[in-house]
Amino acid sequence: MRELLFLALKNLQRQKSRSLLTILGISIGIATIVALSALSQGAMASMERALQSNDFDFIVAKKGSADLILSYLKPKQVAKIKKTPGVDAIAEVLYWMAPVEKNPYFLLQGINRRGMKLALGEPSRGRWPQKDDEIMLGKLAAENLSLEVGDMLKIKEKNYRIVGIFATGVAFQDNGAVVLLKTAQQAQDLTETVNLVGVKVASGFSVNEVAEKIEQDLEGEVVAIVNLEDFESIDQGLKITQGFSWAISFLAVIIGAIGVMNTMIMSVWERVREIGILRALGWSRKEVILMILAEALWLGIAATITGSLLGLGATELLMQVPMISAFLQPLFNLSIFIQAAVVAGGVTLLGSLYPALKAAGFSPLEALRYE
Amino acid sequence: MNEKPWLVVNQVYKDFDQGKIKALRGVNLSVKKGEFVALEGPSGSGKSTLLHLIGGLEQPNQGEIRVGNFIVSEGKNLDHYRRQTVGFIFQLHNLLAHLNALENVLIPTIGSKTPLSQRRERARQLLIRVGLEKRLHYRPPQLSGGERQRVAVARAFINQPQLILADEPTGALDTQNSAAVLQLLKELQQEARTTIILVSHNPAVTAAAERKIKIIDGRIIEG
Repeated sequence: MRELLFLALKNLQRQKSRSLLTILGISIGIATIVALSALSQGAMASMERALQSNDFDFIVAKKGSADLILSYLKPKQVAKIKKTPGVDAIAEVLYWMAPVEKNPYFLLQGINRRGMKLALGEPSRGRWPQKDDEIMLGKLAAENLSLEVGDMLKIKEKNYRIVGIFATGVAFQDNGAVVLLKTAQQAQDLTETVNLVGVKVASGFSVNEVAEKIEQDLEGEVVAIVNLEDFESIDQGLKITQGFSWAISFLAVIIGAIGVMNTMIMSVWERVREIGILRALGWSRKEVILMILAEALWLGIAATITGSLLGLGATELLMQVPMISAFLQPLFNLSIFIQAAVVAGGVTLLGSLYPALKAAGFSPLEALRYE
Repeated sequence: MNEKPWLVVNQVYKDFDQGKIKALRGVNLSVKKGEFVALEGPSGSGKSTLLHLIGGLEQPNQGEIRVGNFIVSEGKNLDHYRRQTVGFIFQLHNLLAHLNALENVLIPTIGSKTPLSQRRERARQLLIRVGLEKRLHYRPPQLSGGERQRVAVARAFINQPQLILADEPTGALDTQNSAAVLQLLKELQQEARTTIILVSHNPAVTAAAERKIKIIDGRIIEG
């Protein structure tokens, strides 16, 4: 097998430009898969951290919302949640996107005063906002904006005094800021509306039972998100990213396979006589098939490596855009590269199977006579 | 004492183009082990077709071909037969242009259970034997016509075949190189007691053989 792999490599080196272009073609698909998967997994990990970074036992959002930011809960619903037996404390959260300096999508969270500790823990420096013109910055936002406690920050013509800095370890939160719930509501003309409610369950009560009770009491209106799986079930953004990733993978397989098939068919037709020689010298059909598949295997390996590197580079470039890096941090793990290798392997196998069978089907003598 | 024939062609017929071309018409041939036989005849006489049938590159329409105990005309295990029993030498060297002389000689051994180091050494010895010790790592385009054909001879002998089938092996060579290749074939045949069947339309080439067989219009008329 080692010699067959060596021969296959030598065969590919004969048409360097064609081999390189084929590798590049597959690599682009692989790079897209790597980049999208890393972003999608990064988003998942970020959400998981976000769910764990607070003191909530679960969160409640509007049922059927495409995204948490599009979930709107009314005061009656919030009141009902608060009164549910077993609910110890709640945090009411309303997101607010506002332009801050060069970032048009700076994320602010409006949180009720009593819910701040529950939602974000203790501040690293300073204190929580207590007045309408006070703000607490995330650690990364403070670094990016070069601001400290005591400085002023202007948002939509209004000046806010920075009273504290917090760090949750979650990129989209630490790149944003927190104001009082009422401040966020007034700024968006969404009086009394919140996006979600974080719930802390009293000791002695079962988290799942309290969550179920809330869902029953507000049947068809809200959904309780206890874990990441629940979150995935309502977050359309993640679903779209994952679906996009799979769609790109599928397209990459098809386009890549056609590219490989084209390369390998051309290569086989150019070598009909050579294949005849091999068959005349005693090579079996199986050995001819293995040789062609080995050539495809090399293409797949090269495409996995270059595609992965391209994917890493593309993600790194994407992270240079502040409004993307503020929300998304890519997560590269082994499974992404395994997925890339499996796709590249599948592409090359699919694309080379027909040419390999074609090559093995030549009669040795007809192939030797081929001009 | 008469030695039993090792290679037997018995009443072999071969047609092409749905019977319109009758290449072989009831050919009978017996060859002893270690014999050097030349098939001569004009172009289209059927000599190359007979060589291809003996080599298992195609099948007869009728008749039987036996080499040792192996029935070639049954059409089974021909890959193994061609690799283990037969060594082919073609008119055009048919070397792989992107591989060097040593790699070309090793091609028929790929997949063998013999360690690569041993096969490499045998290939090297064969190339030295055919006078190419300084050309081991040259690729075919870097070799002369005579040198390429000598690489093809070394390749034909790499698996220590019992039968060498040479189809116009000197057809593309000048007189000097032609004589050198024929001399080489004779020496290697005698060293290993290999049976050789050589096809040529050139009497000067067939003269090198121990026995000459003449084919005209698909029939053996002398030999």
